[in-house]
Amino acid sequence: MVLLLTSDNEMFSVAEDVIKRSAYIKNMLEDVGESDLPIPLPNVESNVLVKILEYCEHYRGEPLPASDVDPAEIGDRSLDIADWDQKYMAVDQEMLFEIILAANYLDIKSLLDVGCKTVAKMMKGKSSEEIRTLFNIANDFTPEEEAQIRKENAWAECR
Amino acid sequence: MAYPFSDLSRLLDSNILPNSFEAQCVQHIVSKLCGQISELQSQLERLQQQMQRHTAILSPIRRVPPEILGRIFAFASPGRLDDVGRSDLLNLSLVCRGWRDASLLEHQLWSSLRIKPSHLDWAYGDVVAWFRRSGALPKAVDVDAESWDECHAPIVSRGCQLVGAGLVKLLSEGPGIPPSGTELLKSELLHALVGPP
Repeated sequence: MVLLLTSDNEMFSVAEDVIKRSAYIKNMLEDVGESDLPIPLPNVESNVLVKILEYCEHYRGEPLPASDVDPAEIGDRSLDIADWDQKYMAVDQEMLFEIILAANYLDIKSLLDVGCKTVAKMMKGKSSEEIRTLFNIANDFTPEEEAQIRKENAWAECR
Repeated sequence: MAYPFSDLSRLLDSNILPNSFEAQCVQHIVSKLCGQISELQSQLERLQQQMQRHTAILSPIRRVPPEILGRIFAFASPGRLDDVGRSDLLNLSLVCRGWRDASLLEHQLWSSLRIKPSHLDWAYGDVVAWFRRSGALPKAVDVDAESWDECHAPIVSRGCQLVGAGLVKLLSEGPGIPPSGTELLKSELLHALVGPP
């Protein structure tokens, strides 16, 4: 078993084959070897780790993805998400981004991609203003800057 | 207009028909309440806007680093970008400065286009500027052969000779498009323009 200590000081005891989906933990275990000391996760809160472990547990025993997906290889089926993953990602925005950040920190590529795809799907076909409203983002362009960018790229939207 | 005191309680708790004076009093009270509600609604809207601006400060998306944003954008704008794909990418890059910067850091987003022959006629410089955002990455361009058909016999018609010239210029002088990255849906068109392979 591997001990994990979250940022809010909660201790988790996790089976090694479950948490090894995290390349970060896997490398740490290989580097440090057997140890009774908990691995501190200062960037992950307990409620997020619970969610991450749910993912790792679900895919326990399945082969790890060979390597990172090159963005160049992202094709037309880029937004396909498995049914279980879709249900898993049916969380509020706060948790969705927490999962993405934790997956990035823990180096769980497949989970990071599911998170990125989920966000990409939410934005697909939306205008800049709709995306700002969706994610509560302030428009910090000056009207002149925005107009200039639109002018430079006006050709791109012409059919 | 001031109305003398009128006790309306007997009307409020019953179904008695008001007399004309009482009806006038009630109308006055209703319009006064309407004004108060409208004022409160404006105040509520102002407070909601303030709250939204403050909530935005805590928005979790602010903590997402540019490289992850770039990855999200890559999923949202995959493959050769046609007009719809380019529009989606521009919408993302126009959300805020941070997103604009993140999109420009993800060179892959700008390296692959699906264009109409006419783009190379009237927007050649813009197409080249788009590709330049992909830095040193190999570029790929699909020239939509359906559009060649729109002005059939592309090599002989004057308009399409100009288009052809634009494509030849892009291939020979454009920002690093290797021949292998260039795909025409009808390769004979390319052969006709630049000679046989």
